[in-house]
Order: sequence, then structure tokens, then C-alpha cells
Amino acid sequence: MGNTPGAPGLPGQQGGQQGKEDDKKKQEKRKLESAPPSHVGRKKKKSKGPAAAAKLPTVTPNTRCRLRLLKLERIKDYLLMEEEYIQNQENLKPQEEKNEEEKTKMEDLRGSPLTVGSLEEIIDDNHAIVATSVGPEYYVNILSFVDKDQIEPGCSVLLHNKNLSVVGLLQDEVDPLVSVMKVDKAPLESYADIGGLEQQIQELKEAVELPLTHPELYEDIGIKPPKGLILYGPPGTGKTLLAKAVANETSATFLRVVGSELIQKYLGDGPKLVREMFRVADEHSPSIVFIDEIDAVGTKRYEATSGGEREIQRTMLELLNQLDGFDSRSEVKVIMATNRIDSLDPALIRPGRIDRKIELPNPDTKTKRRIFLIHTGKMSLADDVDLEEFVMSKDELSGADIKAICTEAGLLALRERRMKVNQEDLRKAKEKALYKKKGNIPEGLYL
Amino acid sequence: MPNEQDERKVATVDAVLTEQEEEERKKKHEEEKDKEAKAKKDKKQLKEEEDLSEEDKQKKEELEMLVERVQDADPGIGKMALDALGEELRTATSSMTSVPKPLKFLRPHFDTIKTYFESIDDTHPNKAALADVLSVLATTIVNDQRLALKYRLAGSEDQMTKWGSEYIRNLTGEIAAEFQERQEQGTDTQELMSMVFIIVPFLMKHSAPIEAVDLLSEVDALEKIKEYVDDATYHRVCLYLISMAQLLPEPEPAQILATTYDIYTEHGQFPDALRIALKLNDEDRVTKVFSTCQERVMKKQLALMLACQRVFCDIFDEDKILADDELRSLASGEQLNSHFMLLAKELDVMEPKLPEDVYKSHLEEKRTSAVLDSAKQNLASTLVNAFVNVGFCKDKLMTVENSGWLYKNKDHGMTAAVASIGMLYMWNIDEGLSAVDKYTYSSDPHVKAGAWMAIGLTNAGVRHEVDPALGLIQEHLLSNVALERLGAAVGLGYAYAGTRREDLREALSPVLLDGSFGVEPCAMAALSLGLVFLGSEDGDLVESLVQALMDQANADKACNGPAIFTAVALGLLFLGKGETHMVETTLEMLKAIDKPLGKYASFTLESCAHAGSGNVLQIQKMLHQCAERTEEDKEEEALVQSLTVLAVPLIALGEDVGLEMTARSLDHILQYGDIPLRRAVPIAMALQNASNPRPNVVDTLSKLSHDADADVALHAIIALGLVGAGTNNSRIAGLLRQLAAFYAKDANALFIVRIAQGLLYMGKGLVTINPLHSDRLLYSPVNLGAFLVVLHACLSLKNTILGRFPYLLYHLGPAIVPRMVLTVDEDLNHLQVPVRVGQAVDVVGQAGRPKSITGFQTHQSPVVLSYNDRAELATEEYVSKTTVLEHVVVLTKNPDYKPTVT
Repeated sequence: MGNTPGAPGLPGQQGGQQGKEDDKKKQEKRKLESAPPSHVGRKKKKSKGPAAAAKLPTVTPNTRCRLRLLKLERIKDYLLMEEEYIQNQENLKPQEEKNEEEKTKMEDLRGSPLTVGSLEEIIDDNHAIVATSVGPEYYVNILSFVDKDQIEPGCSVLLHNKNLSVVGLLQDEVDPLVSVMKVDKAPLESYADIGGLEQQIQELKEAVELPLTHPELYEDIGIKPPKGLILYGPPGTGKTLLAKAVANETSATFLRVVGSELIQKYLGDGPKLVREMFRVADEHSPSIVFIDEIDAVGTKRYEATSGGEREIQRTMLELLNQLDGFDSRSEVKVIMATNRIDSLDPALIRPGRIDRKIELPNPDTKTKRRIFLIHTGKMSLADDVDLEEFVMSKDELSGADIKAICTEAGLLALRERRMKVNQEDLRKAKEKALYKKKGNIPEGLYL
Repeated sequence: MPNEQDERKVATVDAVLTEQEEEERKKKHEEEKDKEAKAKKDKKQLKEEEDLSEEDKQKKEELEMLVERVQDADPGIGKMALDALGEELRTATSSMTSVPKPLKFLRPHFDTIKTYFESIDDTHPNKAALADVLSVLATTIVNDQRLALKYRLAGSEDQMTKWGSEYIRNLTGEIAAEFQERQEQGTDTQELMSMVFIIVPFLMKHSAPIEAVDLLSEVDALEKIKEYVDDATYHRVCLYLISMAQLLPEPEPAQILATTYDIYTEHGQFPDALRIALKLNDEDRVTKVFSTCQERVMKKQLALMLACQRVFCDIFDEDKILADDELRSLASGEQLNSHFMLLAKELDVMEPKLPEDVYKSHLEEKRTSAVLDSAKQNLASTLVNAFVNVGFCKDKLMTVENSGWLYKNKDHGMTAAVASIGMLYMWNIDEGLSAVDKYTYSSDPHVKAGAWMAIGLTNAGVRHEVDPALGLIQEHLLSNVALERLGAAVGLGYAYAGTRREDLREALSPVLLDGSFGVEPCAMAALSLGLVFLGSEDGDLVESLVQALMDQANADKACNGPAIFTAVALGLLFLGKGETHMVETTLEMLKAIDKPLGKYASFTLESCAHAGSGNVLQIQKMLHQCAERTEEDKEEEALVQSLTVLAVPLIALGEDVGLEMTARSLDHILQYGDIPLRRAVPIAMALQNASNPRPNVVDTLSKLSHDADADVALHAIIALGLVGAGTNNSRIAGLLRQLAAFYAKDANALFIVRIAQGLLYMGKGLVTINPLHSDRLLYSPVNLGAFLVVLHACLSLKNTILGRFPYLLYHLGPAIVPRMVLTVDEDLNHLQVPVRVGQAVDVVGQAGRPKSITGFQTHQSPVVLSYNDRAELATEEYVSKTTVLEHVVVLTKNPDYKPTVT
């Protein structure tokens, strides 16, 4: 649609009116009509068009060696030459003034205020049907300075306030839901706040951080770095904490989302959100996408009866596709977290999508000790406090439990208006915490 | 300890600061290590201590004890402690993300050991071993004194490699830096070199040949690599060396390539050795390859490769040492036509095509049916017919019985029509001659001139035993009709491009010097001489050409006439020669010609001399020239300046990075340049992407084809044709059809559109005009030279192709080569095997055995390759004699092949 052959500067019109006796006139005429053929319709991929011409060549090999150095130096030489050339030209004929002039001219043409409408259909290179919020659809001109490579049916365009011709387009169309996911302020938790889990941290680093910072290491040995990983384990063992630490340490864009956020009210919105999220991740690559509580969307597929369930499954299918689909996104890493890995769809966690499964078990004594030390490190403790008692006790304590104990003990001390937490507080706090834990769940089912 | 150094760097960046603090703090408490002292340390210290796990603590104490023991007065105990320390350091492994524990714990003690080391005298038995340990520890200390190397030199000689590759890698870096420093100071580098020769074998053994090469090249001893390569590594090393050679400044490439050549010959890789010899353009080495190679089949393959390069084909002549009739016939390209016909037959494109089949005007959007100058359109059809059916020996216009097509043309149209027979019978001398024969008796000088060209064209790229062209044409060189002279001269140029034969000099020189028939025959004779003596730097010829230029430059508007081809001829003589003495003197001579033509010649010469060198300085020079302004009304000077644009891709040719970067430079010229420079940009793009229609180039050209400036548009259109030449690219075809409709009223533009369409379908999509071949390593000077002539003609379209010299387009003839992979058996009979064709991947320096092609498809041979394609055999049954599957490939049975039983 739209791209009718022979459209640029229709020769028929030109010939009919003008004839060809006067060459000069014809040239002038052509100047006006010489819109380059463009590809309206589908928006172009990043890799094509003039943007690609400006791209620098890829340099292989990726390993550190002299050849790579030479190639990069060669590119640098060329860039220096370009710089020099442009500088020479700018000195001779400053472009800025010219640009400024053109800009004001364009502003004049655009007028103000501008109406926002949506593009319904592109008729040919210079015409389109637009709809405004008021109601009726109009057949209007597209002005020549509008980048036709960028417009596609359905996008928001700026319209002239009187004759409604297309004078520009609104570019930012990132779903606001996605932009919320981006973590702008790094969380305060760092690796130092994690007690134990050395093995897990190391695996995480290898799978997520190193491929983004040092891709050549993987190239050296000839493997593809893992695409993503899943953190699983009982509640309160630090899955989210670990992700926070990654977000704190990394310089990559960090997108975080909770599985339940992906479930939307309307049909098709969930998958769209997933797509959008990965697109944003790709645009800001290198990036890390963290999906917490993945079991909200990633449960095993089964014969779904309600439309809602089916929608959730479709959302997961989109996720599957984004994880290992047709477009490769080497610079986007995915971290997932769940405490019910057994309920996840096997397709979701197959190698190739999620290459590493990292278990975060309940802490052993050594780790427990360190977690206690971390949490009590900032507390003022009485001299009689002996943490070993809790560390060595047989109770199953998760990291979260330990934190709860410490907080509880602090509260107890506060209640008694003491400035220090003593052993008795801790003991009581532990009982309380454990009682709460056991109280909620029938014990027998978990054994 | 693989890769730890790196992680260390990663990890240390943040760790260094804290650890250095810690280090200082610890130094104070060196002697009293008991627990009370520890308790006194500040809180942070305490925390860190407690962070350590039990085992770590134990290890730390153990190491500390060892450090103390090392300083023991008894050398025996010291020795034992040292050994234990060494053992700890060597066996420590850890994750990729952190520093090995022992190294971490020993860091604080570096200074202790250092002071102790300096305190003992040289005769101490442990001194060397101590230096070893210090050297390893030094790799973790951030310093700029090259401590690791310093202690290494003091350490034991033979123990160097036992510390693992990470240590060696660190050491290589320091050696390279030290070497450079010492060389600048002029001090002795002997001890460094002896270390290098211990490290290199170690690296070679541990699958790091690339690093070995790097190290040797840092210390200027690259030729030594020969001694260390073995059957497993030589291939990777050579590939790496070749890639590197393309990026280094003169004279290094030649040395590196010579080394590569030696390695290849040593390992019996004769085809690759030959490629290098050809790259070096070294006849002695080519001859040596043939004389060392004993295998007959291999020799045949080598001869076929020579045919592809179209040089040195005479080394098998009877009077030469390598006299061999069969090889001579192979190298001369006599089989080219039969091979091409075979390809056409297998791909089922034998049926001749009419120009209309190419125009597909029924698909054009017809608005008016204006009748245009029919002579011009007929001329276009003639040319298109010639290009489309090139080499097929059959068409529907000229070769059919009682064809009246010739008489639908007039004047130079007739010349072009007759000459097109030569294109149709390209590479097929016998049939071609009989087809042309009847026109040689014509009374019309136009027809006769065309006939001489046709004879030349049939001979292009092929040496025939009988050598008929010279015999037939020579006598007409000195005819009394200017046109015949011209035709004969041009014909000889086609036939003998690149041969450097003395008898041609004798034949053509009189035409060049005789100015009584006008400039045209002289200029064409000059051009032919230029083609024949391509890249020869022949002193006599240079002189006579400069002389001719002086005469021609005096004419009014010399640059708008054929005289430019004398200038081009002069450039061709120096094609690819680089910065030689001869180039300089000739440039000096040209300065004497104070006319635009003189400048034209010197620009052409400079760009030709550096063709394919990738010399950045030259490109810079050219861009400087581009940046200068000329006055608007001086048309000739503008043309001269536009040559600099063409020079940019010409110099960058053959080196991928540079070639890609020139695309950007051209883009800038397009943005900032004046109209004359803009005019040259499409032509430069055509050179950069000949027969390689990349989408973004096609995009840019298609935009330019609607440019406000008519010339820019015309150039863009013909560039579209050249970029798509021989590819049948449907996108370009569609664009050209649109253009045909758009320019339906403009006779000249329509003519050019038609030509571009003809170029696009050249050889029905089986040929290429890109001069690069053999995995884009080599360019055939003949192909490039001929192509350059056409590009120069395109730069001044109005005066050449649109004017009186449409047949200049036939200069593409010698540049045309089939883009095929044809597999033959040992007796050179066609052999059909499955072949995988896919996009080439740069495998230089990749780990393991990476795939060399991607996105491949399997076909039965013969197949056609496009610019970026590479082919490999898809069967185990045969092995190919050469590593680069291009053109004609000789296959032999694989002796190890076992058919799979199904």
C-alpha cells in the first residue's frame, strides 16, 4: 500500500503542463518535485537507511590482539579525517546559520498550535488520511519535511491547525507502564549486604554481568554467554535482595517488573507490555530485565476455561518468544525469581531461554552467622549477647526470619526503654517470629 | 590459571583502594601477628578479618608463616618455603570473578619479600627462586615500573612458563613496552629476545598462536614465527598475518606477506602461497611455487588461478623454464568460454534475451508514448543486448541470419553494433572471428572500426595459441582513416590488456605520436598502451605519454575531450605501484603542464599509484583537495577536483574496514560538497560497491537519481547499473523501471537508464565486474584498470558515452568475469557435487573452528557467488585442491572417504 510506482514527481503532470521546450524551466520544476522515493508504510528497522551508513563497521576478532587494535586505529584515522573535513567545510560555509534559517522557516510553515491526530492510512507519498479526536477523518497533505520513513499507519501525527496537513509526528511512544519499570535510582543493597551465597553470587555474575562488560572472555573460549537465569528457593532466602544487589552494582540499564504487573485488563495488553518491555530493554542495551514472582504468569499450561487464564498463558507465550525468539538480543539479560520453580512451565526454563538455574537454599550455620552479623552490625548489643545460640539452633531460619528476629528484638528493647538489645530480647523475638511462621501454616503439610 | 589476570583487573579496580589501605596498615603490624594486636586494629579491619571463612583464615596464616620462613637464615629452610609458596601460587584456581586467594593474601607481603630480596647478595642460592615469586606477585601490584619483568630478568631462566598463561600474558605486555623503550634508547635487547623465544613456543603450544604473533610483531621479529608454526597452527597464523598486513604501513606488509608465503610453501599449501605471491605481484615467487609443486593436479589448479588473476600467463611459454603446454593453455584462460557456457547450461539461461526482456516496459507506468530519438534508443538497445548476452555467443539482434539491426544504427552507433559482436563472443576467439569476419570487408569505416574492436573484445582476458588479434588488426593501425585507426587501437587495448608485450608498443606507439588525425586516435592509442602496460612503470612510455599530454593540453577545453584518456593511460601505467621514484619524477614532469589536463593527469596518477593500498595518508590528502573550493564557472577545474572523490574508494579498495569507512566520507562529501564533487560521489560509490548492491547504497543512489542537478542524477543512474552489474537485483530493476517512466521524455536520461538496465542484467546475472577476487584478497589489475577507464568516462558522461564514444562502455568487457564456482575432476571434466554457498564470515582470530559461512544453502555445482559469498564443499567424497572455492576448482577423490551405508 502507498508505494505506488512512479509516484515521485509524476512525469505525466509535469510533461502535460510544461512540455520540454525550455530545459531550464524544466529543471526548476523538477527541483520542486524531486522528492526522493521513500518507503512509507512500515517503519524501518534501525539497521537500514542513512542511519546504517553512519554506523561504524563491526570489528572482528573480539579478542584482544594487535589486529583488533590496528583495525580500531584505522577507524579512528578515518574518523579524524572526517572531522577534519567537516571542520574545513564548516569554516568555509557555516551550516548552522543555514540550519537556523531553515528551522524558523519550518516553524512558520507548521504554525501553532498544532493539532494531534492519528494517521489512518497513507494514500501516496504526499497524501494521507488522518483522524482527529473531534471525529471526522480528513484527506490531507503530508508536507515534504516530514520524515516519511518514520510514519506508519496508526502513529500519532502533528497536524496544522487550519488545513490539517501533516507537519510532524510525535515520536515518543514508549508505553508509560514500561518507563516506570526502569530503575533510575539504584537500590541501596549491595553484595556486601548479602550473607553467604558466594557460589550463587559468582554464578550470577558470570551469567549476567560479565557478558555485558567482558564479552570477549566468552568469545575467547568460544561459547555464547547465558541469556538469563532463574533464582529459586524457599521464601526469604534473598532472591530479590540478590537482584537488588545486581541493580546496585551494574552500570547496565536495569528494568524490574513483577510477574503480576504483566497481567492486564484488556486482551492483548499483557503480551504487548512484554514486547514493549523487551524493546525498551533492547534500545537501552546493555540491560538487565528482572522479573520477580514469575509464577504469576509462568505457570504450567493447562486446559484453561476462563478467558483470563488464557490471556495469562498468552502473556507467557510472548515471554517465551522474547526470551528465545527470532530476534536475538544478545545484550539483554533476564533474571527471574520465584519460589515455586516446580510449577513453572518447562518451556520457560529450558536451556536456551533460561540457561542457569540458581538455587538459594535456606542458610546453613555459617551463612546464618553471617546474616546475623550483618543485621546486628548496626544494632547496639549488650555484652551478654551470644549469637551462637541462635546460629547453632536447629530451627529452619531463612534470611528474612533472621531479619525479623533482629527487628523484633530491637522493638522489644525499645518497649523497655533500653538502649541495648540483650540476649533475652533476642530469645523472645525468636520465639515470636517462629511462632508466627508456624502459626500461619499447618505444620504437617510442609514435612 | 585461565584468564585470571583479567578478572583481577576487573575485580581490583574497586578492591585496589581498600586493599592498599589495608596493606599499609598491615605493614605496621608485620612482626606481631598475635591476636591481641588484631584486636587493637580498627573496627573495619576487624570486620574484614571476620569476613574470612575458616579455611581462608587458615590459608592466610599458612602463607604468612611461609613468608617468614623464606627470610630464614638457613638457605635450606628458605628453599623449602619458597617451593611451597610457588606451589601455592601455581595451583591456586578460582572463579573468573576474583583474584586467586594466595595471591590476594600475599599482596601485603610483597614489600617484605622485596626488601629481603634486595638485602641478600647475588650468590645466595635462593635468589633466583625468590625473584620468580616476586615476579609473579608483581603482576598484582599496580605499577608502571614493569616490576614483573624486572624480577623475571633476575629470576631463573627456564622456569618462566610454569606460572601459567595468565602470568605469561602479563609478561608479554611488559616485554613489548620494555622493548620499545630500550630500542628508543638504543640499549641491548638481547635478554628480552631470549625471553621472547621461550614464551613464543609456550604460547603456540597452549593454543594462543595469535598472541605469539602479536608478541613477535611487537619486538620486530615476525619472520621468526616460521620456526614455531606447525600443521595445526599455521593456517590460523597465516590468516591472521594476512589480515594484519592489510592494515600496516609500508614496508611491513611486504615482509609479513613474504613470511606468510614461506610458511605456506613449507606446509605444501601451494594455492595459498600462490595467492600471496600474486598479492605481492612477484613473478619470481609465482615461478617458484610452480617449480616446487610436484603434484600435477595441483599445478593445474594453480594455473587456473593464474588465469583468474590474468597476469604472468606467459611463464609457461616455450622459451621459459616452466614451458608446459597444458598449463599454458589453462593459465591463458582458453577454457573460459567453455566453462562459462557450461555454467549457463547448468543454470538454464542459454536462451538469448532481447533488450525488451530486460526493460520490461510493460511493467512501467506509461503516461505518454512519445517517440524519442530512435537512433539513440537503438544504440541503447545495441549496448544492452551486448551486455546481457555477453559471452553467450548467441543473441537475437546481431547474430541471427539476415539481421538488419546493424542498419538501424548510424555512425558511431554502427561501430558500437559491430563491436557488440565481440562482446557476444567474448572469450570465444574461434567462433568470434568468423562472426566478425564479414564486417572486416565493409567499406564503411564505422563498421570496420567496430570490427577491429570486436576482434579485440573476443580476445579479452584470453591468450590464444595462434594469437590472431595482433595479426588481424595491426595493419589497420596506420590506416588513412582516423576512425579505423581508432578502432584498431581500441581493439588491441581490449585484447592485450596487462600483457606488457613489446610488439604492441611498437605497433601502437606510431599511432600515439602521429597527431595528424586529430586527438581521438592518439588518445585511444594512449589508452590502449596504458592498458597493455598496466602497472609496468615503463620509462619510455611514460615519456611519450607525457609528451602527448603536453600537446593535447594546449587545445581548448582539453578536459572535455578524449584527451583525458591519455591522462588515464598514464595513471594506469602506475596502477598499484605505491610511492616509487618513478611516480615522483612523473609528477614533477606533469607540473610543467600548466593546464587543467596536467592536473587531471597528476591526480589520476596519484590515485592509481596508491590503488588498493588503503594508505590513510593518501586518502587524507585527497580529502584535503576535496575541501578546497573552486570557482563555480571553471568547469574543467571542477572536473579535475571531482577526481579526488573517485580516488578515495580507489585507494581504500581491498581493505574492508577502510572501504566501509569511505562510505561515510562519501556521505560527508555529499552533504558539504559543491555540485562538481557531488557529481563524482555516485561514481565513487559505484567503484566502492561494484556488483555489490547493498541496500543502503542502493537507497542513497536512488535518492540521488532524483537530484536537482541533472548530472548528479545521470551519474546516480549509471552508478545504480554498475552497483548492480550482473546481479539481476530486483530492487534496482524496480527502481530503474520507475526511472525509465520518470525520464521518458529526456532522451539522454532514458539512454542512461537503459544502459543501467543492461548492466544490471549483464551476462544474465552470471558475471561480476568487481575487480576483487579470491576471497577479496586480490584484485586483478586488468579488471581494475579497465573498470577505471569506464569510471573516468562516466565522470564526463556528456562528452564520452552520451557523445561520440558510446563504445567506451565496452571497456567494461575486460573487467567482466564469471562469478562462478565450477568444480572439475583431475582431468578437468565437469564434476557435479553439492556445494554450500553462504555469506562469508570473518574467521580471523576466532577461537575453535568457527564456521566460515553463514546462512548457507546447498546447491549442486556449478553455482554463482555474489560479492560477500563464500562457498565450501558439502560432500566428504571429494577434497578441493584450493582453500578458496572460486572460479574453477579442481577436485580429487578423498582417499579417506567411506560412503555411509543406509
